[in-house]
Amino acid sequence: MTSPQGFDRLRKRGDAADSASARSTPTGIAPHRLDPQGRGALFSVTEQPPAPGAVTVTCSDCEQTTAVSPRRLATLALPSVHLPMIRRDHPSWMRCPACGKRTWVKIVITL
Amino acid sequence: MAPVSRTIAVANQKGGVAKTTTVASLGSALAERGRKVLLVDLDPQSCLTFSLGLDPDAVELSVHDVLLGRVGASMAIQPTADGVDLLPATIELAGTEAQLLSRPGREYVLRSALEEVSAAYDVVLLDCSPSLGVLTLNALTAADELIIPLQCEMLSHRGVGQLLDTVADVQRILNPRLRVLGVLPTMFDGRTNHARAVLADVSERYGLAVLEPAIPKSVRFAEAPAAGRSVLTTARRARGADAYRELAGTLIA
Repeated sequence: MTSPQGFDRLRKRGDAADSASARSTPTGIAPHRLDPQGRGALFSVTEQPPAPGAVTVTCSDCEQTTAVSPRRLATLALPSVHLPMIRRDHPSWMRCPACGKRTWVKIVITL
Repeated sequence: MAPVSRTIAVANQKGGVAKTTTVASLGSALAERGRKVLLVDLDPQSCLTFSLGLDPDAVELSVHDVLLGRVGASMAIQPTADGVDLLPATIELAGTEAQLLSRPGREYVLRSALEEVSAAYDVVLLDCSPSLGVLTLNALTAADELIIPLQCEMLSHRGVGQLLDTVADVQRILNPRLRVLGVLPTMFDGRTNHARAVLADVSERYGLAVLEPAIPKSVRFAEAPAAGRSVLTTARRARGADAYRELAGTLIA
């Protein structure tokens, strides 16, 4: 039988610049930032700031930030709980679009 | 009325996980069901091109010429005996990445090239190379959906995580409509605990759907390219051929 430790060596999604590599650099690397001289060199298009009306969901579990349409947000938020006074960092409990888990997330709507 | 075309990338940067076999077999299975199918070989090793009966060394116009804008895709597409059309590759494709790397908008080259022809097809299947380079990025940018063939062992499992990070980048920066259909277990031997454990962990860890049925391990897949046909022709009644037929049915249901 495969030992559980074997799978434990695999990182979680979104840990591209995981804590180990972040610690090894003087400045640290924000999670899932593309190094322009590494993997980011493949992209000729740079990440654009979100357009007005854009919605992003940041998951407290997988730490991914995902842009979603308002319609998709409505789907993900069924059902949902919102506790902005108690949970300031990730105030909404709903399904994360990145990892698919029901967990606490932060929703940002760009105005 | 022109059919509504679906473009499906078959990608996993891990080599030897049956990407090419999946594209050839699934394409043939879709053609058996009457669908008009275009296969695109994006691997400089040209294994798909060879597997479907063409000699990559004798191909005059290939996806290399199309991506560099020398000819339109329709000029390079060739019919195959399996009933699918093929945009073939040659070893020249190895240089295409280097050529594209300095071009702004290089990620959209394949998408633009396929716009000319995709309306003529029900399904376009993109056979990616075993790397996360510009060609794979082009495939993910051109695709509506993604299938990840997964050989159920540890290193392949690890590759899925890396691929999903790239998919997330593509969704965020280039192609928000890209949807992961799921992982397709290939060369699957359900008798081993390891294969079952890997499949379960991939599904749970990444929240991915597992496409069914799993494709069983079979020497018939290895034999088919010698005949220049897919396994659906060379071993019509093989379990692997039937598995791809069932998968095709699921995809178009």
